[in-house]
Formats: sequence, C-alpha cells, structure tokens
Amino acid sequence: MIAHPGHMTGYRKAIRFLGASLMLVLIGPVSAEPAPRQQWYQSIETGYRALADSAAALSQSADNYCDAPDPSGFETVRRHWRSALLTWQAVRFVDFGPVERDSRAWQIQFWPDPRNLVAHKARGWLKSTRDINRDAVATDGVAVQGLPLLEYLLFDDQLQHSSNALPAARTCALLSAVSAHLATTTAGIVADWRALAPTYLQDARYTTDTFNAVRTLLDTLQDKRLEATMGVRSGQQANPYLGDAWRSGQSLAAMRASLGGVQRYFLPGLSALMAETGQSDLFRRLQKQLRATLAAFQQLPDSLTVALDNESDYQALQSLLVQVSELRTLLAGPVADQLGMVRGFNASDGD
Amino acid sequence: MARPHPISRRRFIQAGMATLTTGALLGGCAIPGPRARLRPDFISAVDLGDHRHAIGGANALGHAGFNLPVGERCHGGCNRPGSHQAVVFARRPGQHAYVLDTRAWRLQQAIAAGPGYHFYGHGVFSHDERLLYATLNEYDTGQGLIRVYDADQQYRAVRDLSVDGIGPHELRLLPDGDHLLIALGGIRTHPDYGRIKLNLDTMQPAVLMMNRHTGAIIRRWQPSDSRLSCRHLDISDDGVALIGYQYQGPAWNNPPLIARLDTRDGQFRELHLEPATQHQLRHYTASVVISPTRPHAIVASPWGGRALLLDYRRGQLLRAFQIDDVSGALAEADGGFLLSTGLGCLYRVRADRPEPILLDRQAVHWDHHLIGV
Repeated sequence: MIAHPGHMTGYRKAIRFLGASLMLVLIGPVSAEPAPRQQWYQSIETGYRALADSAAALSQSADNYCDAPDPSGFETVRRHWRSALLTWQAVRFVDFGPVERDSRAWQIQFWPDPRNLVAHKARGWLKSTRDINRDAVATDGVAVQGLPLLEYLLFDDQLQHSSNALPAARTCALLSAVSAHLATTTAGIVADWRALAPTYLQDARYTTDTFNAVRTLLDTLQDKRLEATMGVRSGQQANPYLGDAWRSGQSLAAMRASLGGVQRYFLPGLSALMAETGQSDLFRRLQKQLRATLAAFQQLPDSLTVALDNESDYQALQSLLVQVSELRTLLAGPVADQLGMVRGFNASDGD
Repeated sequence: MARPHPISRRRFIQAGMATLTTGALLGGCAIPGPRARLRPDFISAVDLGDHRHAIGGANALGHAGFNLPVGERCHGGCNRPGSHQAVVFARRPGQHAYVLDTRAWRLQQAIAAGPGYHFYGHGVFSHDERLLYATLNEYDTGQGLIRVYDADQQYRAVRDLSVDGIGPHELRLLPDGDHLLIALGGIRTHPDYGRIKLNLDTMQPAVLMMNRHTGAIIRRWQPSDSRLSCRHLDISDDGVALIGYQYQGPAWNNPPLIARLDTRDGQFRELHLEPATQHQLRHYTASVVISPTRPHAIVASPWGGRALLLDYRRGQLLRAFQIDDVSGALAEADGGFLLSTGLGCLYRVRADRPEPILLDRQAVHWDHHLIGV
C-alpha cells in the first residue's frame, strides 16, 4: 500500500511531536530555571563551601599568627573570625541534614549560653596543664568547639588585659586547636551535603524541611535574638549578653547576615517554587519585605550593646523588630498557607 | 444464672467513638455534653500555645476540655492500675513528675527529681500498684538509673537501680511482673547544655532486661548500629516486645527503626520494612503500642507523618497510615488504636479500614504520648 502524501506529512509531524515529547520527559520542562529543590541544593552548597573556606582561612591565619605573633597578624585572625561568623550565619537556617550529625550546628555555635560555659571552659583550659590539641578539643564538648570559644580568646575584654592574652602559649594553642576543629567540622558539612544530594533531591519532604527551617530561623530571630535581648516583654530588661556575639560586638551584624543568607540561599529556590504554583505576586511581596527588613539595619551599628545604649539606635531596633515580625508573619501565614507547608509540633522537636 | 457482663470501659469508649464518627461524617466536631458529667478517658502532655504547658485529657467523645496547667513540658506517663491515679513525667531534662487524680481531675503531688537528677519522661507501675519505676539521669556522671518510688508512702523514693549506661527512656514491666524491659537511648545530655546531644559519636544504645527486685541486669540486646537510639517500647501479654529507634546517623542512610524481641526465648531481630516505607519514617519513631486483644501494634512517626500498623507476632507491616505529626497512641479493646497529633487531631485506626477516621480537632498540640486512665 502506498501511503498518501498527506498521511506522510501527518506521520512525520507525529514522529516529530513524539520525539519532542520524549525529550521533555527525558530532560524535564524546557526552562532555564532549575527545579526548586535543585536550586536550594546548589545555593546551600555554595553557602557551605563559603563557610568551610572561611573556617580554613581562619585556621591558617591563627597558625600563622601563633608562629610569628604581631599586631597585624592578630587583626587578620580577628577579621577571619568575623568572616567565619558571618558565613555561618548565612547558612544557619539549614537545621537538617549534615548539621544534625554529631550536633555540628552546636559545635559551630554553642548559643545561647546563659551560664557562660564558654568562658568557664576557656578559663579551665588556660589554667590547667593538660595538653591542648585537636583531640582534646574534639572530646571536650560543644562549648569549646566553635566560634564562641574563639571569640572569647580574640575579643574578651578581661582576657585581653590578663597574662593569658594572645599570644600567650596556651591561649595560642587553644586558638589553633579550636580553629582547626572548626575547619574540620565545616569541611565535613560540605562533604556530607554532597552525600545527601540524591536523598535531598528525591525526597519531596525536604521542600517542607527547607521552608520550615527558615520559619524557625525567623522565630528565633524575633523571639530570642531581638525581643529577649531588647527586653520588650513585660518583666524583662534589655540584656545584650543574650546576643549571639556580644564579646566581638557583632550580634546585630550576625542577624543581618542570617537574613542575608535567607535572601541569597533561600529566596531563589522559593521563587521557583512559588512560580510553579502561580504565586509570583505573593513571592514579590515577601521579597520586598525581606529587602525592607535588611534595609532597617542601615540605621544600626554592628553591636547590639551599642544599639541598646543609645536612644536613636533603640528606636531603629524597634523598627527592625517590626520589619522582622512582618516578614515572619508573611512567611508563616499567607506563603505557608498557599504552599501547603505544615509544621508539626511533635515533628519539630522530638524526644 | 449468669449475670450479663457489664459493659467495659473500653467498650464504652468504643461506643462513644462510633457516635463521634457519625458526627465527624456529618461535618462537625462532637458537641460535648454538660461538663460536670464528663471526665477524661485518656490523658497526655499538651501544649496550649505560647509556651503554656498542661496535662490534657479527652473523653470517649474526643472532647478535649481537660487541662491542668503545669510548669514544664511533659512527655509520657502511666496509669496506676486499680486506682484513679496517673503519673505524668516532665520531658528531658524534666524536674518533676506529676501525680493526678483522674477522677477528681486535679493535681495531687509533684515529685521532684532532686538536685543533680532529671527525669526522662517515662515510668511504669508494679502489678501490685505500689511501686513506681521511673527513668532518670544523674547528669554530672551521665549515668542513667531507674528510681523506685513507693506510691503508698506519697511517692517516697525508696531505691535507685543502675542501668549501667546512658539515657534510659521508656520502660515496661514484663508479663511475669518481676522484670523490667528498658529502652536505653545511649545519648548523653546535661542541663547546662539544654537538650544538645553530647555523645553521638560514642553512643551505646541497648534494650535491657532488669530484675526489678534486685536491680540485676539479666540480659542486654544491642541494635545493629550504635547510632540507633532505643527509645520507646511496648510488650504484649504473651511477652513479645516491639522497640522503636531514633537514628542519629547520616541523613542519607535508611536503617531499620523497629526491633522485635521475644522475651520468652530472647530472640531479637530488627524489622526490615520495604525501603520506601522505612524511609518515610525519617529516622524517628515516637509511640510504640501493642494491642491487648489483637496481634496488632502501632508505631507512630511524627517526623514522617506515618503510623504503621503491624502484626507484631509475625513482624509484618499491615498498613501505613499517613497522618501529619502523629505521635501518641492508645490501644482500644476492639483492636483499634486511638492516635493523637501535634496539630490537635485525634484519629482512630483499625486494621480493616484503609483510612484513619478523624474524631476531633482542637487548638492544642498533643505532645508525644497518650495514657489511658
């Protein structure tokens, strides 16, 4: 049987259509944008790599300084510490996966510390004659293993005016050992994040986890990092020592970095997710609110202690609190509702 | 002439649930009767929002109107057999256990863990109703222990039994009444560090069988991986226990989370569920409850939003119910289970029904475990 030319054309069209469909099945929707979780995965990986790089730089500068102490070397270590603090803040919202392993998030930043265990532990190490090395740090618990202990060594006023001030031998040994531990911890997070990739990308529940991680960050930011330190609740007084990094005067800078991390590492994936479900207008509202919240930091110093001690700064802090509260309400309310994001009570904090 | 068998309390609950189910199908929550005639049929730790903690209860109709405010977040507890007393324990690192009169619905006593100790959230009574066995942590040494309280002497602490390990969590009495089965989590915590897990790289979890009279540890079973923390368990009248794990290892692993122990012959084996089902539990199990009347058990996972119905004798999965934030479970006389969620819902599930039945929803967070009273 001879096929009719018209049929032939239709046949070719059909083949062409089937081929295109097959391609779509194989490569997914034709779009330059990666899928939401793919986007989040890459963003967080970028953030984790930056954290590991900054921790490695800190470790290296600490070793260099202790090998040949001088004032400029000391300032370099302090600068690298600030950089490590801020890169950590940017990925701090990720509260699942590699940071859960061996309580790594706590190892990096033991906070809050109402009993001042960090200072207690540091003084204990400096007074004793025990060998200070990486193994000793690795087995001594989360209060000595991360940024707050290093902050104590680099910034604590009392220590700076004592015979243990850097570059005293034991203080240097502790600085070096803890920095090395931090570098190992953060490198481990990068490796484990890569190992988690197939699971993270395949399991849709990581979408909810990622979203809820940011909700938790905003809860903590408002309730503990701002309201508790400002003493806004009845019966409370302002207390900068409840802040993240009061010794270095970086508590507000740390908050700004946390929100900057949300903007940089969370919003792109959320944008993709909300575009998929036709919620781009709502996304833009959220994006605008986050920008407004970040802008509220422009009137503020890095130090919460300074801000709490100054009338005009305190008013700027109140404005910031209002912006954070609106951001939190928008994310936990309309955005979560539209995306169907449920946050369980038992699922959030088990036992 | 045989007297008609009186309607049991469980049957009453069952009848009430059937009524409620009809109500739920009609699209509304149960309308409670006069408060004075109501009393709870089960209790649970409950969070009322805004960090207000209570011990809550609900009656057979699912009406959750009973809340006794307490100062700490609570976790699990136990009913004192043959009495109207129940004890609810504060959650790790909890300082108190609360004794309730469940008939008068009032707090009778708060038992303090005492300086240097905290509760882990669980306890069990001896068959003679007199002795309460509770899991505690002596936190400066990190050593776990079972503290024995004499309920007849206003819960005076009479003895400490060492578990020779860290983190005893839930415990049950074996059918012989002489031995305790204890889930040893293996995770060290200290109140100075809040709830941070301090020893995840050196954990030694186990299931222990202890002679409750002498404190001797008769036998110890270990999970297949040292990061499998043994947390919750239940034991059937014929001596078969199910143990629920919580995995502390890398997120990409998919280890078994349920173990079956036949206490009659000591056979211990882990249930390897189909990988997708196992993965759905997300490394976490909460309540483990065995039916007293059927060979069925529930293992709830709030992290996974799943409640697994198992044949505990064969160690086989019968059904996997998808229920957000499900955690608490209570066996009912007809073989079904009542389930509670942190989202304020109460459900009923049965082996012969593919879907859970929503009984009630309240603006509270049911916290982890249900205690029949």
